[in-house]
Amino acid sequence: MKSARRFVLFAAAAVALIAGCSKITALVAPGLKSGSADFSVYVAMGTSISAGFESGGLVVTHQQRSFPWLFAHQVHAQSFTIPSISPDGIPPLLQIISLSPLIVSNAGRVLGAPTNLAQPSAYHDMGIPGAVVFDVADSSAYHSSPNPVGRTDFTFFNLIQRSRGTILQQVLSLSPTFISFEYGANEALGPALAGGTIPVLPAGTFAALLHGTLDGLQAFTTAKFAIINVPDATTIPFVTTFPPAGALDATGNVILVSGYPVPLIGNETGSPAPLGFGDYVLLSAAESLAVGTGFPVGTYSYLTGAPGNGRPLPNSMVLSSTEAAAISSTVNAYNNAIASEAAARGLALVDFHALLAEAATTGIRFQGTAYTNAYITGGLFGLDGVHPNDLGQGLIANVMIASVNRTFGSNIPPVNLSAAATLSSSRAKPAGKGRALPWLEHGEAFVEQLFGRPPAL
Amino acid sequence: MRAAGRITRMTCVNDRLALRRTLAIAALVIAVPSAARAAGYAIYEQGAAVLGMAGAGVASVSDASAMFFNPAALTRLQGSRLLVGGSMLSPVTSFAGMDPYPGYGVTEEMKRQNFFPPTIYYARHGGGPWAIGAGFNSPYGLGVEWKNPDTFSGRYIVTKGTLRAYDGTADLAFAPNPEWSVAAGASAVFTNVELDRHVLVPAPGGGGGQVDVAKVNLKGDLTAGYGWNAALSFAPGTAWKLGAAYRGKVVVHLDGRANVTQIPTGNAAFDAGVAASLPPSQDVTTVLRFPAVWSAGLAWNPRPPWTVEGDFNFVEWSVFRDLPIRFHQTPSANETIVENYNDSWQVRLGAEHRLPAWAYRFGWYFDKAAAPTSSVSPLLPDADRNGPSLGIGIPRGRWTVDAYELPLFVKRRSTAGVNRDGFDGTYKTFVNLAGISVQLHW
Repeated sequence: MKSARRFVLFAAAAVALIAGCSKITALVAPGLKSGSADFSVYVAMGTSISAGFESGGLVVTHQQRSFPWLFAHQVHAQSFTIPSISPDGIPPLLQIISLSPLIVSNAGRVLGAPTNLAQPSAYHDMGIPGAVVFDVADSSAYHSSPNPVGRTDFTFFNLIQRSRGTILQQVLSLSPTFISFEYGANEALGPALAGGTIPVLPAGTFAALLHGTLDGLQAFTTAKFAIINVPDATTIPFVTTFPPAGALDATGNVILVSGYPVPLIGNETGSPAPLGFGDYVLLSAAESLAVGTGFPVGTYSYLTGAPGNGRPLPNSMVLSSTEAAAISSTVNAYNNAIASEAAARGLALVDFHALLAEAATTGIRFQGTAYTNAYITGGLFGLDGVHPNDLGQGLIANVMIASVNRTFGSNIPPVNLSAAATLSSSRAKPAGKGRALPWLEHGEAFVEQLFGRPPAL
Repeated sequence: MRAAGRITRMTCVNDRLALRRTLAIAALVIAVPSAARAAGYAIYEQGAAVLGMAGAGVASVSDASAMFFNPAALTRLQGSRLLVGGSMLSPVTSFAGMDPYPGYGVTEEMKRQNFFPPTIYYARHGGGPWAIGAGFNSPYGLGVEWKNPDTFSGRYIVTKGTLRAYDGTADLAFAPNPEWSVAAGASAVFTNVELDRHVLVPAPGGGGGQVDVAKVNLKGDLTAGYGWNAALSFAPGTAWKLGAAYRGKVVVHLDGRANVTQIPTGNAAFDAGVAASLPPSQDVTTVLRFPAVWSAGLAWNPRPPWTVEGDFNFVEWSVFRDLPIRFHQTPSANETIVENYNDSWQVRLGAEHRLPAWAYRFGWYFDKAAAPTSSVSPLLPDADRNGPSLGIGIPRGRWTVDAYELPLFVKRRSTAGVNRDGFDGTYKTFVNLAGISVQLHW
C-alpha cells in the first residue's frame, strides 16, 4: 500500500504543477506585412467622409476617428497629418439637447478653429467636405458653386486646400506611396439631399473625369491605390427617416382610408399633390412637418400632433421615387466605372455601397446588435443623418483593410471596433447656454418613432 | 409550454433580436452542456475505474459502470453490484481578444468552479444468461460563468450559463454462450437550464458605442428526452475482448421562459423609450437533438495481471445543424440558428496492472472538437483536447474503491476572425478531472 500512496502523491503533484499555468496571456497584433504595397506615406483624397466630418461639422475628436486616420494607424504610416479643427468644430457639431422632445441642435456650441493651418506641408488627409472629382486637378471651382454641388461657402477648401495649388499638386508634394481615393458621393448624393433639385452629374461625365484624374495621378506617382465607391442615397437616414404617409387624427391615431394611411402633400410636379408611398421625405423637412406642413387640413402631424395646414412640402424636402431611382441608377453607373478602373489599374476596391446596403437591409452585426441606417438609434450615422459616425468610420476602415489585403497581399490587422466606437457622435466641448437655433425640434411622438413605433404603414 | 407570460408588441428590432438571440443561446446551452469536459455535449466521466484508463473500457469494463460503457458486459459480472461515485470537474477557461472585437490586449477569465456529476449503477447477474442493470448519472452539464459580468466583453452573448442533465437508464443483457453477450435498454434524460446575459443597444445619437439596457435571465423547465441503446460483447478467450455499443440520439422538446430586467441608464427619456421597446417575459420552444454515439473497443490481456485497451468513439454531431426557435405568441420572431457541427471522434487508450493488493491504471485520450470555428464562443469554446490519466483501484472484500485523475489539456483555439457573434480571439481551457467510486459486491 505504500506504493499506492506514492502513486497518489505523484499524481496529485503532477496535477498541481499542470493546473498552475492555465491562464492565457493577451494577444498582440501580428506584425504588419505590406505585401506588394508600401504604406510608409499614406495620403487620403476624398470628400467629407474621408475628412471625418460627423454630426454636421469637422472637429479633431472625430477627424481622428475617420477611416483614413484609422487606416494610417493600422499600417504604421510614418506621419499622417490632418487639418485639425478645435472644439466645438466647424460648423459646431450638432448634439442631442433633449430626447423628449427630441432636440438636435448646435445651439450653445462655439465655432472651432483650425489649429495647424500654417503647417508648411500639405495635409495627409486631403478629404475636403464638398469636393468632387473635378476638383482634384482643377482649382477653378474651389471658390465657386459648380453643379451638381450646391456649395454655399468655401470654408473647407480654405482650411484644407489653403490656396496652395490643386488637390493633385498637394497630394503629389507628399510623395505618397499609398493613396485612398474617395469621390462621387457629392456628385450623386448632393442632389439627392437637395430633393433632386440639383442635377446629377451624368455617369458618362463622371467616368471620364475619373479616368482622366486617375491617369493624371498615376502619371506622377507609382503609389498603390484604394478606391472607394459611392453609397446609394436610399441607404442613409437623411433620406429614409420620415415616412411619406401616416397623417394622424385628432386622437393621435393613424388615419386609414381603404386600409392605407393618408399620404403627405408634396410639390414634386409644381403643384400640390399627394406623395407616393415610394417617395422619400428628407430629414430637412423636420421643422416643416413639426408645424403641420405637408399634412392635409383636418389631419395632424405625425411628429408633433400639430394640425395639418395643407401646405405642400417644398420640392427640396422630398425625393420622389422617380428621382431616387434615377439617382440610384446613376450611382450604380458611377460604381461600375469605379470598379472598372480598379480592375484595370489594379486598385483595391472598397465597397462602401455594399456596406451601407447591408446596414439598410439586414443590419451590420456588432456586439450582438444589428446596426442599421436608422436615424439616432441605428448606431452607424451621426446626427446629421448623412455622415457615418465613429463606428461607421471604423467599419469603412475594415472594409478597406480587407480589400487592400486581398489586392496587395498585405496583412493589415482590422481596426478594433470596440475602441473605434464611442458613446457620442458629437464629441466636443459641452454645450453652453446661449443662442438657441434648433435644427430639429420635434415632439414626443418622434421619440416614439425613434424607438420603433412609427405610424403603421 | 408553461403558462404564457403577457406578450405585448415588441417594437425595438435590436432588443427583439437580442432576446431571440438569448433564447437561441439558451437552447444552445441545453444542447451543449460543457465545453470544458468533452467535445460536444457529453460528459464521459461516468466510472472511476474506466476513467483511470482514460475512458477506454468498452471491451474490458468489469464493474457496474458497464451500464454506461457497455451494458452487454453486465453478463460478465457476477452477483449483485451497487456502485456509487462521482467526479469533480474543475475547468479553468480564459480568453484573449483580437481585433476587430473585443480587440488585442483584452483578456477575460471564467470563474473557477467545481462540478460533481454523480454516478449510481446497479447490476444484477444471477449466473444465467440474463443480466439486468439500472443507472443514474449526469451525462450532460454546463457551468459557464465569466468574471465581472457587468463589464465582460462578451456579456451580450452570455455571462452565466448552467445546465443540469440527469439520465435514468435500464438495460437487459443476454449471453447465449460464454463468448457472446448482447444488451439493449432505454433511457430518459431530464434537463434544465439557466442562462444570463445582457442586452446592449447603441447609445442614441452616439458614435456606435453601446449601453447596457437590460439583463435577460432564462430558466428552462425540467424536460425529458428519451433514447435507447444497444451493446455487444465478444470474448473468444481469456486474452481478447471486443466490445461495441451504440447510444441513440435523444430528442428534447424544450420549453423555456425569458425574464427581462431593465438597466436604468440615467436618461429618463431614453429609459422610457427602452422600457417601451423591451419585450416582456415570454415562453419559447425549441427542439434539441443530442447525437448518437458509436463505440468500439478492443482489450488484450498480454499477461494475467495486465489489460490493455483501445477504444474508438464516433459521435454524430452533424445532427446539430441548427436550432429552430419558435415563439408561440410572436411567430414573426421565429428563427433558425445555424450551427453546422461536424461529426466528431475520440481515441482512448488505457492499461491496467493488477497487483495483489491494488491495481493501477493509466491511459490517454484524444477528443476531436465538434464545433466549427464560427461556432466557437464564450458559451462553448470547443476545441480538440488531450487527456492523460492515472487511476488506482483497491479491492477489500466485498468493497472496491476506484479513483482516477485526468488533467485535460484543451488545445488553444482561435476563432480566426469568423465567430458568428463577432467575438473573436483565442480560448484556453484546462480541466482537471478527478473521481472516485465505491462498489459493493454481494
